[in-house]
Amino acid sequence: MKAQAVNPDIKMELMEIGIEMHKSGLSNKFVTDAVGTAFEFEGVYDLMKMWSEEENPTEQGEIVADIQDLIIDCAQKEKVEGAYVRFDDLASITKNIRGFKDSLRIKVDEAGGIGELAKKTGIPQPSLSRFFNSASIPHRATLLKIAKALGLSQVEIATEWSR
Amino acid sequence: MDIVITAWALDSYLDLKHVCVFTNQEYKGTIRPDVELLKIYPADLKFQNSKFWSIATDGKGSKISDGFKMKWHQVGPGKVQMRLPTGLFAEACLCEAYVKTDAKKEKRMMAKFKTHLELIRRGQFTECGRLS
Repeated sequence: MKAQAVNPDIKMELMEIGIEMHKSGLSNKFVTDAVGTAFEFEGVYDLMKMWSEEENPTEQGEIVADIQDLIIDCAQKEKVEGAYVRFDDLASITKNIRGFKDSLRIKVDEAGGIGELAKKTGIPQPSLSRFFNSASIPHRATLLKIAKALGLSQVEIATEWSR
Repeated sequence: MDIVITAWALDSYLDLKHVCVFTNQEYKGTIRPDVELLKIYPADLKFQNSKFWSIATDGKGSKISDGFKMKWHQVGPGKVQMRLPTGLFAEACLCEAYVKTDAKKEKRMMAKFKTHLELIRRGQFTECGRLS
């Protein structure tokens, strides 16, 4: 389902889902990025459909977090060679990343919490919750948005492990 | 064939390791040796066993092009089912591993996998090493 192959009916369907998402409180930034990415990637279209058909708010939150993950992934325009990690180093890396995220979370809570951060960054609350609960390597773009929202310097959000 | 570790695979292993889905012994004794069988795909008989290896399908039941799943059952202290979506191209590309919980999660993960495979085709992904 390449962008040029998306028929007008699907585009309209996606725009209507986007309107529902906006009415539900999701930010303009997220909704426009989600719709735009779904025009080009069938998997994102599948998630948008799942969101519109889902009644359980918790499950909708998971779908939103998945869409946000893919918005970031699809924004990458070229192949990158990342650092190779040995299995035996996984434990120390997760400890490092969790320590960083836990200390950043303290700053977030002092500034009004995840909900407030979602309003300031445009990143959906379920995505931010997933970010702070996971041990995965953070994306620099996400860190920069959080830093800007909290008024933090680049030194304060510096971490050995980011991508 | 070569086995490529994508950033999605690495991040998912970090998360799964963090919550102790699998033990170090299981990784070294079972998971890693199974993944390394991809080097000789499809020669090993395990690939004929649908409880170990199957095609990936989306939420509508349609086959996902180039998409497969490696499967483990009764993994770790929680005795969970773990899945490793794998794209087969000129190389085997390991994608985002997860614990299978319910049908809704399965649909979501397959939608993500479908997108990841398209990004791999377009050369728009991060490689974090190869298994050798």
